[in-house]
Amino acid sequence: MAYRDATMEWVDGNLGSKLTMKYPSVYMLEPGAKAEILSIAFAGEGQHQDPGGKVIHAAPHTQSSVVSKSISKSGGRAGYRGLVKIYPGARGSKCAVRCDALILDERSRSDTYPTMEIDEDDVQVTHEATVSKVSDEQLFYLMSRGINQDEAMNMIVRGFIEPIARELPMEYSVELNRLIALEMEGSVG
Amino acid sequence: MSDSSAAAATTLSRALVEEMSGAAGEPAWLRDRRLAAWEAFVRLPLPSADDEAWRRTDISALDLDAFGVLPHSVQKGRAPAPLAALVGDPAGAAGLRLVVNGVQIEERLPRDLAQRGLIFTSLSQAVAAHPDLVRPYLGTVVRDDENKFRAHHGALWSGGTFLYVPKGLEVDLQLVTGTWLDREGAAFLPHTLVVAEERSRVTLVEVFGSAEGSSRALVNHAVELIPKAGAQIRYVNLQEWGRQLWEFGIVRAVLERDATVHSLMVAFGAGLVKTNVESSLRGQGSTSEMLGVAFGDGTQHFDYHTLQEHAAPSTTSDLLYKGVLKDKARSVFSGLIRADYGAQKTNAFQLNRNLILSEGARADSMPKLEIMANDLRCTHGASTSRLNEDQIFYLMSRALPRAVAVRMMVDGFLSEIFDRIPLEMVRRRLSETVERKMEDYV
Repeated sequence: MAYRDATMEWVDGNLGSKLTMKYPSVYMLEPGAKAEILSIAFAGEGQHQDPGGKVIHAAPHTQSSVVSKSISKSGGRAGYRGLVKIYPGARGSKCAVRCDALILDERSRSDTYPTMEIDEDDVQVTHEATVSKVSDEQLFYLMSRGINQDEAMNMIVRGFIEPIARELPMEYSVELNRLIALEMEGSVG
Repeated sequence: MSDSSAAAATTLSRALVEEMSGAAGEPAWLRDRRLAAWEAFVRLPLPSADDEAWRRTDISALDLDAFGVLPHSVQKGRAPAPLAALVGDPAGAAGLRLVVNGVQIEERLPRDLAQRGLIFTSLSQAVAAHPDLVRPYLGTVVRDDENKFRAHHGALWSGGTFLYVPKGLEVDLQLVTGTWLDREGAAFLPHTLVVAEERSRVTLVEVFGSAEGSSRALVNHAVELIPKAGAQIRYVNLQEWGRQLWEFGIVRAVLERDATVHSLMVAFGAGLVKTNVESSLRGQGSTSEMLGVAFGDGTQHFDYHTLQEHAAPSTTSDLLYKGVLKDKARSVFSGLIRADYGAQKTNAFQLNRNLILSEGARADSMPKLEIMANDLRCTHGASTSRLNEDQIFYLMSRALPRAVAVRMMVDGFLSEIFDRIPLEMVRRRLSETVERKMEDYV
């Protein structure tokens, strides 16, 4: 619940567990409230990461932003499931949702299920999503500089989640990068 | 031909299916298929709000029994003025069929195209005249037991369009089917089947309209598009139904190797529309372009469900649906891109944009991705916004009245789609109808 001019920020990292379904929500109840949701999901073998978030605009001039980064490898399934709800009267509200997915091999899967319910005309709502693999050119470039393939892959994945990692306090950021490096071990076959 | 008396509201029954099939003199295989569809119709429930795909579209007021099914027949006649206006200049078309309340009043195809093997007629007539070309394809793309509406359609469809393009034949001008309804309480269930043999190319434009205001009617349409290897089909569906009409439909294409489909759905009319538009890219190198424009006003409700299914490597799909909503109109867009395991080198794009012109209008957008391949490019986007007051202010500061400025903005919003339609007749009609819909906007 975010009231007048308040800001609520969720930073959500999902690396472990077999199945994750977690949807942090922010209800913006008074003018000027802001919501920010940052979400990372990493699904390895046998994992299904289905995180996301809900932003509910129930007052005028509220703003929200959702950034989701998901990575799937070794047959894992990662994605984003979310809701943007704008109630009548939430004039001048803005919402941007961005979901990027990185699929590291052809056995893995990525799903994106954003839902937008807009009941007010004076608003701006956007949603964008991309799904891609690690580009061969990037990998080649790094390897041509003498970095081995594992490390190169690792760097690219770290770069992919960097916009979220830098929002974290230093200790957590380091921890996140280590965890991902751990998950990434032996990913190139 | 402009008989506007009420259609007899026949209660739907197995006997009705048998009677209609018998009256049309249909072969046993088709009658049996209709009866199987009838069984499915009886068995399947009417979708309710519990169903995710129907959660946002309320059809609880619908009573399928309240509509009398229009049978197909052929009788030469003159087109009512509004149908003539809808179809536009017939000189621009290679072939033309006109249907009024289920009665085919005109069928025209240049002799040279007929001699080269092109068939353009009603599906009902084709069943009798070309069973060997209809039977292997009919029902292979859209199945009768998918849901209640497909079963309703499978049991009772009549008329519709059959277009067969032989191998290698390229037709430059479009083929046009114009349909008009003004029968109170009618149920109209046309079935469109397009088979384009290898390396052929064809354009089919279907335009539909009904009397504004009074006619309470139901339309349940199914379209099957079958482009063989290297074939190209361009399909345009433009509807300006009256406000008391329910439309349920499906347009589905199955693409073989290197085939191309361009589809364009234009929705201006009807009270409630619930239509699926789907492309199944099963052949390597196939391409599907899917465009849609919906302009809602009053209390119109448009619900489009789209599917881009990539089931083979190196396929491309590009979807762009735009909605303009005025008054209390509502739109629902739900689109899914699915890339199956092994669908490497897929390029899939999906974009839904909505422009809301009035307080009280509403747009729901659910673009979805299910990706099971890793070597691909796939993006989707959705946005909902209203007119930009700064831009309107700029135009007004250049001495344009507000109404003109707004009109220009709406035109600009839609031009991205207009520019991708190479058919003059369709572009002109679009532009005229948008103008009419904007007339009372302040």
